[in-house]
Amino acid sequence: MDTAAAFTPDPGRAYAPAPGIVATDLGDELILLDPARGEMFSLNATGRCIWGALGGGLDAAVRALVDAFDITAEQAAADARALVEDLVATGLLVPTA
Amino acid sequence: MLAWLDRQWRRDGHAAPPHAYAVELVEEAGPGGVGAAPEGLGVPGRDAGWEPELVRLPEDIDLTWARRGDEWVWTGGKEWVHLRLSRDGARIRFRFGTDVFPALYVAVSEALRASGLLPLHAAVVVRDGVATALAAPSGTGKTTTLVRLLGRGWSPLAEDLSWLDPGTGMLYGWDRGLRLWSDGLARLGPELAVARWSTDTDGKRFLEWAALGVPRVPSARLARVVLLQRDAVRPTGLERLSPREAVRVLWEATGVPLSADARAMVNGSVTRLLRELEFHRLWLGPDSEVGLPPQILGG
Repeated sequence: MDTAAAFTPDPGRAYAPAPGIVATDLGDELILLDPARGEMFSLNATGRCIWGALGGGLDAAVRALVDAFDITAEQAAADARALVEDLVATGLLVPTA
Repeated sequence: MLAWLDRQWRRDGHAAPPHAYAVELVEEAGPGGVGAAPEGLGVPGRDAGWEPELVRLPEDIDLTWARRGDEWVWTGGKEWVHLRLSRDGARIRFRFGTDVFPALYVAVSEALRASGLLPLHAAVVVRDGVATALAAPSGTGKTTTLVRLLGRGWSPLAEDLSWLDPGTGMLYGWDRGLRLWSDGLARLGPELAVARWSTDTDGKRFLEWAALGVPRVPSARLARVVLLQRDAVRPTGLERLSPREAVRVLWEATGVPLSADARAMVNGSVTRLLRELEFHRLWLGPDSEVGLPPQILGG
């Protein structure tokens, strides 16, 4: 990945799993498998909540976090933004058109 | 070729419930030169809509396919394979050649996955009607461990490949015996090392189940998956796998499908299997070279 061009999540934009990524839900943990690289990644309960809501955009993920956990909207926004940056940088998530 | 494939598929004891999903296999003859797949089947970079897709098989075999939607094409020298998947069935067309088998395996596996069956790359042993799958990368000791368990009252169901029906939990063995490279024979013990092994076209040695003197079980309900892992220091022993490790073992043993629909279906099956099966790791330490401790796997 080109780390010099940092990705800034767009609050109104929806995101989808990158092509080929398989997500296996263990209930309290989400396992992401990238078959092309043979790598696995794990999302905890917070990450799982964000992943599940990103089809509705970053704002939807923030609302889902606030509903599910005892955190402020500002903290939820920071958590969601940081995770989306990581997931896009790792090639697990892509912005949808 | 079709008659041979038919014999490979129709086995005693393979009485799975009928499926509505139809898999059609068509062998096409005719002239062909290098890369002579039927007209209209695309070449990535030349034909619009076709993209290359790499498929990794066990034993580090990589095949590059061309893909357009739910169609895949592989071309070899004079041979080729064309796979088309739909919600109701699969159609596989192929032209036979000596190098066609891995690609044909991919196509047939993909079609069967789309029908709901899962391939399981593992050795499988059965006792009291219940199957235990031994999963591991090639060379770890699946076959050796299987043979050692046969000496303790376990029966063989598969040495490398079986088909799992996630709906019923039934596993159907595919292999007709043991198949391994010559340098693995010595680890099986003196009796098997001198048994009547034949040599397959790929150089692997083959011994039919009947020659082992233990009846093969054609199918059984899968209850447990055991990941074999070698360690130079740790003594041989069994431990439970974490859910995360169990996910990896299942995906590596069943393979990730080519089509998005099949991936979603298999993912659902994997999630259910994680709840229904037991998952363990069997450490094979230095002491495993002389045999498995009595308490391993209850044998």
